[in-house]
Parts: sequence; C-alpha cells; structure tokens
Amino acid sequence: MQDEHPPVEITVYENGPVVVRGAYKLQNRDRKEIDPGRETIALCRCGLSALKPFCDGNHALRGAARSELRADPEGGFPFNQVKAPRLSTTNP
Amino acid sequence: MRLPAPRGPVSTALFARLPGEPGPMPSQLTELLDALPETTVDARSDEDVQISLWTCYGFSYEGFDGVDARWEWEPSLLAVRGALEAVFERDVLAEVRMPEDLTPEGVPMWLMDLCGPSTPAGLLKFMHQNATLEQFKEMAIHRSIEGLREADAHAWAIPRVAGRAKSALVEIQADEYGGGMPGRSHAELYAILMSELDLDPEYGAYIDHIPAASLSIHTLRSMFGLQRRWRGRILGNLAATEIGSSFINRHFTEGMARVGGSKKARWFYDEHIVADAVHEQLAAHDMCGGFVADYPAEWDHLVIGALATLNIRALFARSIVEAWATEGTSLRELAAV
Repeated sequence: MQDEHPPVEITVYENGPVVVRGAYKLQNRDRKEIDPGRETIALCRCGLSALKPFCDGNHALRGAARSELRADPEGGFPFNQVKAPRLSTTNP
Repeated sequence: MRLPAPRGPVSTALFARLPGEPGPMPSQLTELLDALPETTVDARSDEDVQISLWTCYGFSYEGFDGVDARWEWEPSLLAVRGALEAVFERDVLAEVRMPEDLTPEGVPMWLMDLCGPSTPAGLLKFMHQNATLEQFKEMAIHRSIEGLREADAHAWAIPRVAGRAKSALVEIQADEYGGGMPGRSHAELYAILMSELDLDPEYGAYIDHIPAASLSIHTLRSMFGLQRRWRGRILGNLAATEIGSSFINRHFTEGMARVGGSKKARWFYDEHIVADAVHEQLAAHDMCGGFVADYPAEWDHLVIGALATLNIRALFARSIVEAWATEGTSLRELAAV
C-alpha cells in the first residue's frame, strides 16, 4: 500500500514555531541525537526560547501580535489585568 | 473515593440519598433545586452548588466507594445535575461578552492574543516571587482536582467532532496522556508533584478542603465536556488552557525552585513548558481553526468557552490572593467534629 503522507512533515505557524511531525531524527551539530520526549515537536524560530532548539512560547514576548484584548480587567489566572502587553526579556 | 462532606442544604439532602438504591429524589431536595435560581448569588463560588455538582460529575469518572454506579444514568440524579448546571451556566455566561469585531476566521489569532503571555501580575507574580513552600503546597491541593484528572474532561470531545479539529485534539490528548507511556501522563506527573510535596496524591483526598472557586475550574470542564451541544465550548476551554501555559509553568517552576522544590517536583511544570508550546499552536490553529471551518454555526462556542474559562481562573486567582492576604490559608478549614 502506498503511503501518501511524507515521512516528515514540517509546518510553519504564523508568529510561532515550526512544528515537526513524523519519522524525523533530531540531532545537534555533532550529529548527537536529541531526545524530544514527544512525537510532535515545536522548534524555536524566533531565537527567544530558553529551551532551544524547542519552542517554549517565548515568541509571544516580542509583542508583535499583541493587542489590548483581555478577558477580565481584574486579572485572570494569572495575569490578565495588565494593559501594557509588552514584556522585557533578558534574551535579546 | 469517598463521598465528600456536604456544604449546605442541597448537598446535605443529596449526599444522604446517594448511599441508597438509585431512584427518585426526596421532595425536599427537589424543592431546594427549584428555588436555586433565586437562592444562588454566584454559582461559581457557591460551596453548596459546587460540591454537589462535583459529586454529580464524579459518577462519570470513577464514582464513589459504596455508592451504586447506576446513579450515573439515573434520571433523578441527571435532573439534579441539570438544575445545578442551569444556575452555573447562568452565572458563567453573565460575565461573557462576545467581542464585537471578531470574525470566525480571526478566532485562532484572537485566542493566541487573549491567552498569551503578559506582564506577570496577581497570583502568578506572587507564586514566582513571594510564595512560600507552604503556599505552593496549598496551590497543589487546589489544583489537584483538575491536575490529577488532566485531559480527561477534554477527552469527552473526541467522539463529538470530526476532521481537522479531531486530529489536532487527538494529537494534543495523546501527548497529555504521555504518548501511551505508563507514568508519563500529565495527571501522573501531577501525582509525583504532590508526593514530592509530601501530599496525598489520591484523587479527592483533599476534597473537603478545596473551596468552590477551585472546584469550578473542574466542574466547568466537566459541564462543557459531557454535553455534545457544548463541544465548541470544551474546545475553547482546552485552547484557553493550553495557550500561554508555557509561560505560566515557567514562572511556577522558577518560583518553586526559589523555595527549594526538587527537580522531580518541578517535572510537572517543566514538562508543560515544552509540551504546551506545541499544544498551543495545535489548539489555536488546527483544532479551533479546523472547528470554525467545519462547524461554522458553532464558532462562537469556542469564544464563549475560552472567555468563561479565563473568567473562572480569574475568580480562582482572586480568591486565593485575597485569602492569603487576610486569612493565612486559602483552603477550607474543617469544622471540628
């Protein structure tokens, strides 16, 4: 039976990471394998992740895609009350 | 799991009835339920309503020691649940307003924006910078009701959606359950967190200490998850849970490291930093984006589910912060027997 799916699928998410699925092998420059701990992985493409090569959601700290929208001005669990959305980060 | 202690007239009547043979409810309970819309100020923080609702839903999970499992589908208990859900839904929706300019196609990016990181404040800032180990233990007890059941309420949605939304939901859920590896599900990591903090990891061990606002995080999920008509709401709940979670969990693990929490204790948080960076993309774009495309008449349910979830978490956060500021403990103190 012909498998119509590629062995590895790489998807680029808007304002987000690259998500990799399938029979990939993740390795460092020395070709040493990195255990991702899960099947579907998100790789950082903004450089802000503290857990590179994996994404840790830090791209959102760029503030590029942020607006003033908040669910609850009193502050949800945990932090919806702050109007100014941009965060400083130590990782340039 | 044992039945919890009652917290008011409804739970007193209900819990007295449950050890018996499944059948009709006493008229006294029916009358209390009929009056609920008038007697309930905010069902989300009403101790009697929430402990009763939590118990009703308990039959759909693992049930209770010495209580007949047939209660799960007993019409009289479903009627009790329905009456409780009616006031809970009323008070959940009272704070939910659909954003005026939002379009169905805009939902994924709106969700990312709504739930994504912002400057830590309130409870998160406190946990990161000020909380003591005792307060981390209290927080672990509050969240044990949902943490030890992580992913279960969202699993109800799997047979209720199709297409791209289903694929994304399954991909997220598989990871939540540890990819099938024993001991790696997020619920099991939560049990490890509790054990490392010298807490009892058995589900419901602390139920009588957990206040309504904490229970409502779990009862909201169960209410949305157990009803097909609200399949969009449970997906919205999942999206609001996953998006921004990496950021929250990073602050929790750093806060717990500050008070000397072990690496093993922090595993639950550390796992979520990486896992939810994947899940949030799948949840917003694939799951919710797919749902909007395939179920255009129900797109607003995603929005309602997400907003209701954030509002309940805000209520929970406020109640904890206020309790710590004034009472010393955020847990319910049991009356001396």
